[in-house]
Amino acid sequence: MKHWRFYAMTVSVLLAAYIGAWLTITGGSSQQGREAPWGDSLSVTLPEGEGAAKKELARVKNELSKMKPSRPYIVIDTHANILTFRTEDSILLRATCSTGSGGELIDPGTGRRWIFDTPRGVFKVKSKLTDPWWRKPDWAFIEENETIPKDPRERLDPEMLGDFALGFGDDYFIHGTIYERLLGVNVTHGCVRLGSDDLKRLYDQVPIGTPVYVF
Amino acid sequence: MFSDLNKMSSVLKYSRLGLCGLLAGIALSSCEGRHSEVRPASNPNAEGWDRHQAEMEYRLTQTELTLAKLDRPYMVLDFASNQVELKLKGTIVWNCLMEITQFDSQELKEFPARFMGNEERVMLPLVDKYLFAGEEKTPDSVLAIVGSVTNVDPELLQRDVPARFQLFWDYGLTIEVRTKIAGKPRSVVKSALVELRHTLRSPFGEAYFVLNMNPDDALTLYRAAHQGMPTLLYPPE
Repeated sequence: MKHWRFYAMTVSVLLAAYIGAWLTITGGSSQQGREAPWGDSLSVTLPEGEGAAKKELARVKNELSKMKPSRPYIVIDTHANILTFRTEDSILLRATCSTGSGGELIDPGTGRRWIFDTPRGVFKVKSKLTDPWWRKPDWAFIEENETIPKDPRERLDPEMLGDFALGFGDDYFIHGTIYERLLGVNVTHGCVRLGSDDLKRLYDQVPIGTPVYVF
Repeated sequence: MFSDLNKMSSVLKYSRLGLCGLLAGIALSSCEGRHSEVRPASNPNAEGWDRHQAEMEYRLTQTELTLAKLDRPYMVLDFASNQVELKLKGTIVWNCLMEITQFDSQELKEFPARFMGNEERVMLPLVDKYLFAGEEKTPDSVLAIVGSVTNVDPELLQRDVPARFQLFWDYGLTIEVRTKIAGKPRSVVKSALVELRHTLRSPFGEAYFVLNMNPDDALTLYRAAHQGMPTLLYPPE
């Protein structure tokens, strides 16, 4: 009888320890069934009646499919530094690129601040340039501890951007680089750098208006 | 006695042959029938209105539409076309075939079933991710050059290429991703705790499978996947 009590107690203690450890390590079930910040998807129901329901289903499907580009699009993967020109089903071009470093620069004189990130979101190719010249912004001088020139001609650099540039808004470009060895590393000030061969191939295939997805 | 047994066995033999012939005849005739038919409906409900199916499709589309209107990517576990996708504004920005190792068809059925549950959920947020082992992407020599060219801290530029990591959702759902990289193990204690969590969860029910990925894809998925990332499930057909 005493033995039976001892075993029962041991089993109870072990069970309690097991449940305790499980709750501690898994965080219990507090996360299950929590409400998502983007709304409760489970409450979405079709209207009554077959006709109305079919119409509503077709409407949302159409709305979703309209969001997809009707032609090939550019994707810039800032995580792996890969640029693809693609459709939903196939990759037309895949190239190693360099994207924003995420670094920060503060102008000691004025306190102006820059964060060198490639912007995320959906954009469009707005311009296509051949033999682009870089008009160096203020940060390029501050970074090098140089005085910001008063003559705009002193800002121009004919080499830095390579042979082509594709503008995708707000002074961000997909362009070439003189630092091809650094492709694949997040080193840029926000623009997207490509190797010269890949840049030429992309430039030749991409028309103005092509969607650019950056994530 | 012996001759009776002999007779019986020959009767059985001929009846088996006859049965085989009959089955072959039925199979052939059904094949011919298929060719001669105009186009049989593969699904008896194909032309009928399946409200439950439509409700499910509507909920999935509405949910995806809501996510597509946001400015951030979401993940799709597409069991219909057997791939993992990242989408932005409703468009695929990254996708990778589910190359499953230690193939267990039961686990594969269990995962979507457990994801959807009785409520037929179509979306869950990613609860957590854990890197077991990884390898630094950029050699120090390259980082030294970068350091001399830019004013960015080389630490900021370094990326861990994941060798092995896990993604977790509620309801005991785990996907493990493995690459061919050996990688350096991360915290031994934390890894042991994660393994322990996995072991302790098992009796309460879980669905878990392992995917093989190339290092670039694994890097994208690991870095893009973040806590709370909405994850949609396209159920298997």
